[in-house]
Amino acid sequence: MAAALTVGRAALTLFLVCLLVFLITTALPGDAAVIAAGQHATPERIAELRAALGLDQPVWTRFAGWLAGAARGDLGVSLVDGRPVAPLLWSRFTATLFIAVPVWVLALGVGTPVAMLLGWRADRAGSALLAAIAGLPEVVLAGGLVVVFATWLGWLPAVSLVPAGGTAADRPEVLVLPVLALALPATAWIARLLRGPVSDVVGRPFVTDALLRGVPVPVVAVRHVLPHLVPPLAQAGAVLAGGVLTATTVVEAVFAYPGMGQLLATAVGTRDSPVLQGLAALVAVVVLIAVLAADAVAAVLAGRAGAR
Amino acid sequence: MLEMSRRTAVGAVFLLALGGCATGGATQPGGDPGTPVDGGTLRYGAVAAGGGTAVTDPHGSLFNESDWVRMGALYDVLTVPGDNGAVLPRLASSWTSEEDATRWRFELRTDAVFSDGKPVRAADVLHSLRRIAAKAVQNGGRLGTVDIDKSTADGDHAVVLRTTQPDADLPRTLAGVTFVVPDGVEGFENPVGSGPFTLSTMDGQTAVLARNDKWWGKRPHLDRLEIRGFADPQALAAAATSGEVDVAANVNPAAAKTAERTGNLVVSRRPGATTYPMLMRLDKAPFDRPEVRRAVKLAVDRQALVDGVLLGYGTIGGDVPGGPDVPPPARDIAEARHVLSSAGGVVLHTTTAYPGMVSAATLLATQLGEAGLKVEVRQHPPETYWTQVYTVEPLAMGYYTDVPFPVWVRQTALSTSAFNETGWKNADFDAEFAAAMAVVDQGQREAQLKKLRERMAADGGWLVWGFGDGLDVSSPAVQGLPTSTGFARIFLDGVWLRR
Repeated sequence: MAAALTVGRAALTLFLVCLLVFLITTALPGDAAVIAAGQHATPERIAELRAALGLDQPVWTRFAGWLAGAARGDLGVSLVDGRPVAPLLWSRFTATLFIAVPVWVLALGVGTPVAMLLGWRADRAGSALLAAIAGLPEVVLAGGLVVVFATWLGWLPAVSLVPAGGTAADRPEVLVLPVLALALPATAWIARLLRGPVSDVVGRPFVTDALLRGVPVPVVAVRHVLPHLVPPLAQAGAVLAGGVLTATTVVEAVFAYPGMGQLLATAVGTRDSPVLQGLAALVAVVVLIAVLAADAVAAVLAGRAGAR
Repeated sequence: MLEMSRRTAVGAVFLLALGGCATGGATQPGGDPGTPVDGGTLRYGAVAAGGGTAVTDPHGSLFNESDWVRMGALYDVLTVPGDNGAVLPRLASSWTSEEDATRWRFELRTDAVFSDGKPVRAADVLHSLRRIAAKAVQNGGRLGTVDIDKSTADGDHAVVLRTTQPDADLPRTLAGVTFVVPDGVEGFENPVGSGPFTLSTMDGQTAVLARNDKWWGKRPHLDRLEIRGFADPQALAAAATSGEVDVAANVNPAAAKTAERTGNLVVSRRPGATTYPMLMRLDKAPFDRPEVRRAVKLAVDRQALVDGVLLGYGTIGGDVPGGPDVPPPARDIAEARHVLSSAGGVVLHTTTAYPGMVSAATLLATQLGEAGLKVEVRQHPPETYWTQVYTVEPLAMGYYTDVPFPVWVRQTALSTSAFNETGWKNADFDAEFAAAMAVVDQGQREAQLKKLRERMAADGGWLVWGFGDGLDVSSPAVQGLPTSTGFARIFLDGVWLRR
């Protein structure tokens, strides 16, 4: 019953996200026909193109058509080049995962110990540094990294070109700078977020007791503090999953990496609504799964605590 | 707004990166290219929406420069543009027209073969032209005046094209765009062409092509051609600077200037590729008064515009498209002020579609202000500009690529044009233009057209202050890049790499 309710709520959220994105795309000035027609286009040509693309249909008919297709797994074709959206999305999504997954793992894996170090001793200078890093725009960071590691030192490529027909796995060095540019602020963000809960837990009696009993600090950190951080960590991880997927847009542009972010930027520019819709649905699904997973983790932990 | 600030930030980052390059060792570019050598892979970067959503149909809307270059390598075309308005044979070995230039006969080469081994015949050409005509809405009427229903094949090695009106310039209109596919083919996932290269692999961003040893033409020097699409022009320039690509095609003047300053890259220039005219409407005040239009043309400092907007990569223009051969009037601020100080204030509309359109508008406003005309610049987003502002407002910026002059006239300067960007409607002009286009002798026709262009320059609403060069940035090893105008830029079979 509870599971059915959860799935129902997730499906409703997904529907609302798709609807909202569709309405916003429709509200943007100009449409795919105007943009494809270009400068020397007569109103007749725009009208013909609009009819050819199906853009002359009422908004609700188009949305219903898209929804019916999406329900069957058919995401339609791009208004720009007529290619099917689903394979295009998939190839861009997997390309972006090469950046997003390392960033996500690094942010959680490094951010948590950093939060413990700083939260334990209530380190003010460290916190200020974290705030500064978390606030750095990715584009500035990416630019700085390029200047240092590509231009001056020549250690890494300035643009992340993937070999023809291959993936980033064939040339892993192209991933270093984009991943760093995203992972640094993401790690700082996680660390800042968990610092408060760490101070909180460290101040509780069972931690003080353990320390008084002579249990080494690292053991206390892993056995007594870490389990209490799992619920906020799971929540943060869920939010970060969505955040990283969208933040790649800027970094992909700087490094010319052909991922989902570049596809998104172009689809907005050309008003390619099937591609936009597909992207929005995909990101929404990822975030929903992450949030549901975080809830499940919290529920399991709560169950254990209750059973104890 | 957000988008703009992102772009600006990316630009700043790019300049930082290049600043670092300047400290590195600079090699001497250019010099004696030596004799061409065979071999090597050319990595060619061009701007493409989304980092390369590649279109496979050569006859529909070709959105990306990277798609054009790939089509030019895979497929043969009837004719290609040469230098100074000349037209060179390609798949068509020769062409003739009858007296009034409404019936054209193109003789085809007999030694061209498709990559599947079948010979290229007139039926294939006709099928391809029919597809281009059927997709006129998508490709913006690429076939010009051709009346496809009345056009026929004559045997296996000649096509006879009819036009809806006399068009002595047809071979030039068709130059570079008539990609020939085998008769009956409608799908292009595995392209079969008769061009200098064949497709090896293609993914979302990159197409890899190999030399076609069965091509009839001079054997290309390159073994392979890698065409890569870039969503961001700044990233494209950065890829060339850092040696990740050998050529960055069609970069903006700022990127070319930086590349030239750092000394590691060579800039090749194709004259007259882009123009940012100021358009005064003849049917709206104050530009309905000929003396106001004339005063505006006297007031502007064309060389300052070429230096400021095009960073010197261009030549000054004489207020009509088609080349710098029509000289502009000598600048006369005093005379201009005499008329303009009574004209009141005007708004100059422009758009962020192309970077030069905003900088040109700003500089023009300053210059006209010095001559007594108060000009306020107003910017519009590209999505609404071409449909709601351009051809509507009394004063607006335009954008021309290097389409042949007669094609441009039919688009926008005849009474019958679908839209007329300055309101130039003149029955005498229409008749004289039609007469000129029926003159088969090229020299005589160009002389007649030049007279018409001089009249447009003097009386029209176009302020064509300059012609910008098309700019390619490349490593010094790259030789033989196209230098002619128009679609000549997409044919890379003459390129070679110096060792």
